[in-house]
Amino acid sequence: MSWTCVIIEDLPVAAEYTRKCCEKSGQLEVLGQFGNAEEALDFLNTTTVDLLFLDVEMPGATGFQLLDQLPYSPKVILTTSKPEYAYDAFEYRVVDFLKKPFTYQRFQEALHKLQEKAEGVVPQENNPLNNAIFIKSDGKLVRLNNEDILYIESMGDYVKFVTLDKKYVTHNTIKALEEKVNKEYFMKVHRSYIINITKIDDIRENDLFIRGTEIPISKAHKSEVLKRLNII
Amino acid sequence: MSTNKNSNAFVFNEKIDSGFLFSLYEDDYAYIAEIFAITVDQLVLDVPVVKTAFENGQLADLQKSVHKLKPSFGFVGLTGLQQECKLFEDLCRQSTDTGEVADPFAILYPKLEEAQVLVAEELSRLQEFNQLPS
Repeated sequence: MSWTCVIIEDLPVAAEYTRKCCEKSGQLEVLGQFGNAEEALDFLNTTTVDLLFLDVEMPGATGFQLLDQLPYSPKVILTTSKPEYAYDAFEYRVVDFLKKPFTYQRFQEALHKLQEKAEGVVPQENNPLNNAIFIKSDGKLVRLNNEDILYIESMGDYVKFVTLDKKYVTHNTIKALEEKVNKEYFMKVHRSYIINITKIDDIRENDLFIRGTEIPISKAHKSEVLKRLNII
Repeated sequence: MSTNKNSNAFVFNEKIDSGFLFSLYEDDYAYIAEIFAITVDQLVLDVPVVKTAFENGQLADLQKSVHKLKPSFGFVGLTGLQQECKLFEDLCRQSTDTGEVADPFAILYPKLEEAQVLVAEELSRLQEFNQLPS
């Protein structure tokens, strides 16, 4: 299996070593190497990659802030020396956590985890339940058809599913949901919103409207939103 | 009698954990020299930042600068110093101003400067070694 990746790391020696490990593996194609989150984001807004090797503490935005702004969710391997980030790493569903400096053997273990994770995913097109999701609400699992959901809004540790006729609040995060929802219907337009793109009524500058509700589009997501629409 | 790479493997300074270096780079001395060269350039930039942060009384900047420096030492086999940086970083996190870390800083900073010199010297020796006939 071959993966495309970028290395986002402010310590040149660590970036160089990670690049060398990638080359040695024969499984990774390094498309770019960036010393800060802003430069990486510029690149990632126009180029889709499979995997990020991501440092957390860098000048300017942190690695997690970069992930918040990305218009899609590549796999992530954190390269840091602070175990304190383990909880955030879990929240962001990172594949592995490499403490610098790491051996090539440890690097290979991370790649192995990456492959396991990739193989465990049921491709969306093959999943017979692809047209609906189930959420926990009022002590039961409630089926919501994708076509009935207007948008999903963050409420801290909870999210609100807004459908045509009802609202459901459930314990979850936008970040976690982003990977689970059917991407044919849904896309993240802001750190607090995932919307059903088939329900957009109109777009005015940096906001979109669904059934009268104004939803902000972040700068990082705007070009991706416009790409998905059938603009004539 | 002439010296060559086959008869004499490179012997690192005793302060450097050569076993750890070989676990990272095997015996690819050309690549090790490349890593040392990058580190020398980086230490020239990063070590003075630590001192400036301390002198300016900026505890958060001091912690950040040591955090950034820390893995550089690991990449050149100075694993003991990397660990000392980790302890100092933890101490900064638990403190409220640079005065509280003044004594440990007075011990750590000269070691950072010594390491900078050591890595540069090892790089010179490695470059000489790499030019020897195989």
